[in-house]
Amino acid sequence: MSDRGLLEQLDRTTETLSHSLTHLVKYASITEDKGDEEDEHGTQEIPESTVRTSTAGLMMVNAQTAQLIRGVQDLLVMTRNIREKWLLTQIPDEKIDSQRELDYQKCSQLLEQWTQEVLGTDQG
Amino acid sequence: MPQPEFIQERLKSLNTIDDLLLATLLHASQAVGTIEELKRGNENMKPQFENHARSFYNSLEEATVGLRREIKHLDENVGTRLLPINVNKRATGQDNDKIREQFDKLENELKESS
Repeated sequence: MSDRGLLEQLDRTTETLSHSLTHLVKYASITEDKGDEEDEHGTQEIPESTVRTSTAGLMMVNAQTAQLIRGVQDLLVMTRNIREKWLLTQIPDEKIDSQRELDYQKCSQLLEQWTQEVLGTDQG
Repeated sequence: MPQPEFIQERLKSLNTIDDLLLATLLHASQAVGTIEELKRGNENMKPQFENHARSFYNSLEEATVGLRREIKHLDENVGTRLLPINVNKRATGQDNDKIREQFDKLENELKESS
């Protein structure tokens, strides 16, 4: 069933979304702490490990932000899909069909009237 | 084309879910903005950050709970209101609408001329 798939996807995206803000904050603090150390050591001698950690932290922050946005996007796509399902796979009401049949009778009558009129004007 | 009431209700709640999702993203960005201020040593931003983080989780929770409910509705109505298969539906109803419109016009014309 497709709905089970939707539920699973929802669970997964929610989980990543709820984690991503925490991760974001966590990695943000890594970069900043190391940044403070950089100032202490001076700009000339930055230890290689510090550079590595802060760069890694920055990359993680970017990744987490992207994940956050992508998760929300996925959920928006999901609402769109559900909307499409409601609108497109509807079983049509029987009322509409009966309306159509009524229309046909009236239509043939109208057409006849119209042909008469057109022929009448042609003759005259 | 007017939709049945139940479906209109579903569409409306899906719209609110969309809004909530966007609000989630907004709160996340606000939280990140406040943490930036916090890192600069602005300690009074702490309660604000807390607020933003809390509203992030709140709106995320509301949105996902609503979405879960919508999926349940979808599940319940397969077979009664919805077709159980995926159909690549074209806009087949349109030609009927069009023909009705044309006949209405014809009727008006006939009335005017007679």
